[in-house]
Amino acid sequence: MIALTLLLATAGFLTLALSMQRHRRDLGRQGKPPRAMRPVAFLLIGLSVFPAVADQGLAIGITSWGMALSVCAMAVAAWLTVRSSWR
Amino acid sequence: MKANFHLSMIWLHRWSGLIFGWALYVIALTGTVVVFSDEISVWMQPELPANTVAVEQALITAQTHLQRAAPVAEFWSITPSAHHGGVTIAWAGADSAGNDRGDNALFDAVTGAVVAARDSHGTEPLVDLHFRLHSGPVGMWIVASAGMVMLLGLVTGVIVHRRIFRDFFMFRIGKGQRSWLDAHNIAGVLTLPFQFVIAFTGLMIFPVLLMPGALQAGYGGDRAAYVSDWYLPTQREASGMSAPLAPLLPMLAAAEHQLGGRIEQIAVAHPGDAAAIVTFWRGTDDRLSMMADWAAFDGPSGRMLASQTRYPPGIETSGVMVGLHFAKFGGAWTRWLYFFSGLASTALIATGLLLWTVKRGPESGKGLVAALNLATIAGLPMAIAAYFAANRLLPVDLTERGEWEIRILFLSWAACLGWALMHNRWASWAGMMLGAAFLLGIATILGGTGPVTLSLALSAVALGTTGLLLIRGARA
Repeated sequence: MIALTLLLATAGFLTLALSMQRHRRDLGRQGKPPRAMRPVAFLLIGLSVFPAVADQGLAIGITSWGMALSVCAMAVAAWLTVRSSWR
Repeated sequence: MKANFHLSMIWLHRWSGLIFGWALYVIALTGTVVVFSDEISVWMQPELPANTVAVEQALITAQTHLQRAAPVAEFWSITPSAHHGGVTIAWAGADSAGNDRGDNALFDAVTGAVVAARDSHGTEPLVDLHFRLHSGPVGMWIVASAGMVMLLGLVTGVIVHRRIFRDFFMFRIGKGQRSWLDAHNIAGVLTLPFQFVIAFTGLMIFPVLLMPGALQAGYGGDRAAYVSDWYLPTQREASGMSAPLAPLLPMLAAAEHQLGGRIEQIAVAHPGDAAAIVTFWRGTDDRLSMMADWAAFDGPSGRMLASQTRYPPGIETSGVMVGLHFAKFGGAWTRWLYFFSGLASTALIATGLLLWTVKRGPESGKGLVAALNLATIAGLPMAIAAYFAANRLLPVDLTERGEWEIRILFLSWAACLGWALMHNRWASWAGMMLGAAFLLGIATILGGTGPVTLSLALSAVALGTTGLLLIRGARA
């Protein structure tokens, strides 16, 4: 279940990056990002709390989720950095 | 005072960060490593029985040994390990021959034989560095001050970083000072909640030390009175009349049922006496709060006397704060998340320190700040690597072996400082990184198999790659 949290959070941050003009190019996308992209990103990030809470309970689940957000955001930032240095 | 609020915050962020940065780096790196303190400590004593056993088995072994060795001692203490197959047994008072003495040894929980593990302090010196910089009470004050400066740095950092959301993922490589600033920003912004939590909860571990006024006002400075107000496992004097101790296993089952979790420690006061008390403490690895619930039983009858699972709200909050800092609650996943966030925290501090010298151009790279940066940022990983390698290289029967491991840790670090003061250039950075990788490689080769060895190998690869990149960068 924690793996699902990590997956959803990473997908959320990737979508957030896609909603930013400067990072769209790093991810190989052209043009203006769709307006709905940012709410979808925050929705995915928000949804990722549920598997953690289901797996570890409310208190520990939310704490683990908070840590997972940091790690997933760092992973996306590292991926974007690698992509932008390749371009 | 600077011309405006923003400039004042930049000044405060820069100078508070520089003055406490080295201490913060040591605290962050050692804290990150000791997230896995139990696993590393077991790795450092490979003679320990590998397979964990049930608490019941450990208790049978312990009671059998203690009934024989010290049936009428003042107290017994039994600590089954959750990480290896040993049980630590300690007692004080009269032995079976009536001589007044005590003993403390680790036993194999299955065979009952004494475990002859190599003398090693495990992660103790790293924990000591983390919470008091190996400097006793003075070190605790420095660490506490550094913790407060960390909170200050986080608040001022948020204020001075104006494009916090626009530059959320921004890291521009190969742009000199800009790249270092990007790295500093990204490590800080993406892990900001973690940084706040870990700095704040770190301070909350020693509330009485840092805020003695409350203890003075409420209890006249009497710490024992303060603690006994909310945490007082049942105690009573020995009666002087002998009575056999009831079997401990039924009491263990009742304690587990009452406390709702794994029992971590058992103590018996006045075994063999009619007033004997058996106390069971619950482990805290499965929940946020680090408050250890207890249940006390009458020794001869096995009847439960009292238990405690609830605390005043302030104490419970404090227990949760401590639990959030120690990260024992969520299993391996959560600790890996803490570990990576801790690495980011370490990188945040390191990049902040490096920014100070990068910003001042090549000349500042030869000064005291640059030398201390080298000795701390690259020297400490090398010293820790030397500590792990020494664990495998020193002869197992060496006198004061555990002390020698610690001496090697600090001698290596002192050597790095000496070298940094004399030869502060890029090659030294690469040399220390490659040296750390080499030493971790030795620890990996001699470390057998298992997750700790694998982690050491990955760390060696990461440090070695960094060293090689530094060499390439210096040549470019």
